[in-house]
Amino acid sequence: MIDHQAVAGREALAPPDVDTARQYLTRAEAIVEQRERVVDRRAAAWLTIGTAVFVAAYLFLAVHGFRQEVPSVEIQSLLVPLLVLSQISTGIAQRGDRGPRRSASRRLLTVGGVVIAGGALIVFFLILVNPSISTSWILLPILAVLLGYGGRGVVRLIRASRGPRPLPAVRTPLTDGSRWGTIAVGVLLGAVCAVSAVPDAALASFLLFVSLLALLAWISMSSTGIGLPLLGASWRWPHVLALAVSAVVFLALRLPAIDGVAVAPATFLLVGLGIVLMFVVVSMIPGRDLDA
Amino acid sequence: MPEQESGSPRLDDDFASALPFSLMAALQDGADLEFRTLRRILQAERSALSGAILLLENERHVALRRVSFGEMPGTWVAATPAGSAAFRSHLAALRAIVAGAHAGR
Repeated sequence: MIDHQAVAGREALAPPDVDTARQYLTRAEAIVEQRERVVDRRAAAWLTIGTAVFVAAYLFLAVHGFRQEVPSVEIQSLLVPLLVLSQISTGIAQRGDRGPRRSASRRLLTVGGVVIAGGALIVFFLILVNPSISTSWILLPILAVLLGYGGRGVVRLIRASRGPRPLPAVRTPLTDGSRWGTIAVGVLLGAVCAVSAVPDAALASFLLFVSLLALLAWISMSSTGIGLPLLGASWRWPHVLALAVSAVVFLALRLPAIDGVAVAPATFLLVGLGIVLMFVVVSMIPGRDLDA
Repeated sequence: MPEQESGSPRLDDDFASALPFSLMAALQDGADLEFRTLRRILQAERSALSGAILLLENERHVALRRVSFGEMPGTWVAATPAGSAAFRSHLAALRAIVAGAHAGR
């Protein structure tokens, strides 16, 4: 005998017959499969992995850069693509849904990850402030970031890859706001890249400071229509690829400084211009229809 | 809606109609889905889906979270713990009906 919960104030409906019950069960399975098709968590997983790699590279460059007295503007300029990346990631993660929520055990793992990340940050700052500590210790925070944060992205990617192939995003031209926002990201990254070409260190620091302030002002508007998360939500892979290429270029241009090799100022200028042009081009590529 | 022990078979007439049933199926495993995402999954009309959500919200099977996302306000829908338990019981009852038919053959 099966219990039956009727709608309040009404007679219980007749129980479904076998065929109807079977159809309902089949329908439930089909809906779950369709959910996995519609909700694409791969992009967010890839961004998590990319961000972990970028943060790890930043930690490496920051520690070695400070020790070898590389101008701080070279290292701090990396914060700009990092902040943009985190804001865009937020938008991509928020654009659809959160999917199945984390179980209690996974929450525990998350808390553990936060504790490890906190410990890694402490190690990072200790290395920065205490020259007697070997820079090799930076491997600890780097491993913590790669295994903790990046590993989480890999797990998410594997889990997402097991499901059915997601439906392609519904394409639509970027709105005027998103198009200008995309170009503005390019202008910001290009300008920050070009700052390294300024010969006067004080002026370069000032220009970087102004760029960071502009970015922070933009981030403070993250919940508005011109916020970076909305941009991330409306971007498709070509736009994200442009950001990833910019981030890689930012890192690649700083690597020679660690070995004491000076990159020609014109290189920073040309690369900065290239970044702006790249974002102008991708701003014309259709994005994702958020209303679909 | 009375609390139901998870998994014990119990038909619930709140899930008797196709759309509320499909909606709860989509919200299984603790999924927290935005209204537009739900429309794509269920291929449902806006008004019909709103009606189904309202019905299930009134019975406290689902909870709504309204978040402004850029210029576009979004509504996220998730099953409540009681709603999830009730739906699992409903599915268990449907399986019991199917299994009962097999056993009777």
